[in-house]
Amino acid sequence: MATPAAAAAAPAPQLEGDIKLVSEDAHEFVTPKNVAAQCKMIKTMLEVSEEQEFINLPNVKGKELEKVIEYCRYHVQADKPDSGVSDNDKKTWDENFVKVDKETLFNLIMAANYLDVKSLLDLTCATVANMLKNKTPEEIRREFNIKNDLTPEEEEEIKRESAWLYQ
Amino acid sequence: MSRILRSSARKSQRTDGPDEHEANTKGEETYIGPSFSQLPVEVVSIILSHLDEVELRKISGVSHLFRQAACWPSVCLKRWPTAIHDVDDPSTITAEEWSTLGWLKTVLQRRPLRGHCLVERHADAHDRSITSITRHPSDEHGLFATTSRDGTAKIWQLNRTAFAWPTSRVLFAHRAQWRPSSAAKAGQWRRMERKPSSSTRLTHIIVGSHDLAVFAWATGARVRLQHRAHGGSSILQAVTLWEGPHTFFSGGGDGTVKLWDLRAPGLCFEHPTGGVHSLCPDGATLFVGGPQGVAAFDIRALRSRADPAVAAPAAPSAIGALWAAGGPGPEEAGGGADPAEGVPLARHYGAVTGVALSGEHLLTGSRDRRLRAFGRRFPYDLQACVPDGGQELLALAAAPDEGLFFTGSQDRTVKVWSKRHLLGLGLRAQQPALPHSDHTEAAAVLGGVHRHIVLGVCPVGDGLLLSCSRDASFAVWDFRPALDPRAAPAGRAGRRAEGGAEEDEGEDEGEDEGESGDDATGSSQAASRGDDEDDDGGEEGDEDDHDSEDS
Repeated sequence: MATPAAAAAAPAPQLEGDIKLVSEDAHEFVTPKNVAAQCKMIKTMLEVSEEQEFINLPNVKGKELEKVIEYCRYHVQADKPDSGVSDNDKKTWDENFVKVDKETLFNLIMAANYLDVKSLLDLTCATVANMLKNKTPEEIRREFNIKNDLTPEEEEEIKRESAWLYQ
Repeated sequence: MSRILRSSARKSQRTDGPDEHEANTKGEETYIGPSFSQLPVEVVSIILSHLDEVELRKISGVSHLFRQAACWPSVCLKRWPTAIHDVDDPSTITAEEWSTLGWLKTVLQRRPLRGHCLVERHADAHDRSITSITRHPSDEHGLFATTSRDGTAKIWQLNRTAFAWPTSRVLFAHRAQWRPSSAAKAGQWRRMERKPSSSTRLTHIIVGSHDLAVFAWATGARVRLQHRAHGGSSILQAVTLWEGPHTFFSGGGDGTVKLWDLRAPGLCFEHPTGGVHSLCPDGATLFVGGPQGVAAFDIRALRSRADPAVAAPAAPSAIGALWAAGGPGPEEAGGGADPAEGVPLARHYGAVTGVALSGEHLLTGSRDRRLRAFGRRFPYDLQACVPDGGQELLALAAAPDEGLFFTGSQDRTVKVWSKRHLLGLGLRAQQPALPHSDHTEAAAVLGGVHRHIVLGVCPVGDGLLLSCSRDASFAVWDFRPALDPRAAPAGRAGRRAEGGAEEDEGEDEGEDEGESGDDATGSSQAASRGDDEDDDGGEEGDEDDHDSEDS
């Protein structure tokens, strides 16, 4: 076991070079390791085994993986101190980034959750939350193809709890 | 994901019948792509956490998933603590707002966060109740230790691998065979404290029951043993480091607080108190939680003890009672509260089982079912007192920086508290008679793992929390997701129950039943007797009696 002093002195693993990410549908993306490491899951895998040349991501399709890499690449660049990208620029870029169809958006949420990219997960979740605002439950069900599995009794209870909302 | 998508497509085909979209607007194309049903409830809860209370309340009527996610603690916790804190004058909160807050709080209490338990060990941890749990001073190694009434202390390591969240393994286990009278009471090791130092080789863990031993974290080797540290039959109740890596205080069942120095052969100093359940020193003051309340002692004069060159014991006046809070009033104590030793300022109505310092505050947890926050400096004014769901508090620990603290209680749960929220509530329950209520103001309730009272809690860095219980189990919790919706639990899928908990359930429960009766009936007596153990008075007391007879 390493001593704390030794552990403190040991340099943090350098993420240099590229790594090949392989999506569920066998699309391959060669990405700088520091970009891929924005995904916490990939970062952990890189730390465990620095020698590996590719990582299989069986839960992400190529289309979404490409988007996730695009997001990570932009933020790695933009977060550099000398990048000259303002917070407003980043916000605008993020807003444009999530201007996608519903299917891609949900797939992105699942990919961000699986790959553990918190900022992307938060961004995509906020986007979906905006789509839910100012809609009735019935409208939401219709728009997102959700089956109403509440029993009449439960619906009654919800109405009773929320009676003041509808006065 | 493909599996999910395919199932989604199948589901869409299956449910695309008249029952689902009969009311669909004509001409509007039905969305058949992935939707909320493919998302884990935690992720849906993150989505919902971006909505305000009114939207949240409306949306919980969409489906079961939405209802569940709206009740998910990350959503609730994002809402109500801020909602309370952001209001300067609570009287301005409207009835509707209270209604919403009340609803969310109720929901929160109904949902113990078992989902945030990363590791749980039951049958293979220890054979008898685990009395304390503590971590290595450095978070790097994932080391922590447990002591148990089965006579062993074990040092564990969390394996943080890539895909499965921590498993744990035993590095070292010590049986107390070295004890002089090991037959009946071998190693009912009670308390321990980690001992930070500059290197692993010098990092020790202090463990004790009747005897007191110091072990090296790294090798498990014993480096110091003090037989009968607190007299013949007295068990160590608390131990805590003070002023660097070499000196520590211990408190025993004999009611004394003792100061030890690893570099010196014997005892440095001792002082009688009314009884010790927990200790918490800072540079100048030692806070002692005991059967009668909390006392504060001025220990500045003891600093010379840290210097081994000073051989002469400190004079008794070197440690003085500054304050004794919560003991009998002057009239009840028969004049025992000498003005020179301070006047009781605030009462506890039961034994104080946990004392912790958090920023400028002293926190106490008590068997009188209340949590209190005092000012850390004289005159130690009582700033908050709130009940904890009618449960006796058995363990208390504070996170070093986040303004959070943790309690373990009789109801088998671990609770996470926000100090800010506690202070905002003020003196809610300082009156002697506490109305029985299940209501708790805790920021998160972590439960569903321990099957008996929780005897120890210990925060670890990186948002992890250790807890141990009388059912011989311990758990590692990831409590942050409950507090911050953006911090999704790491590797929830990797959470695993280990150690064949199921096989031993029957046996455990049998034992639980017997002992819980003892707890339920004996707790108030234990508090009033004042000389009892903090968690299991009856049984321990019996054994102590035998011990006296033996000796």
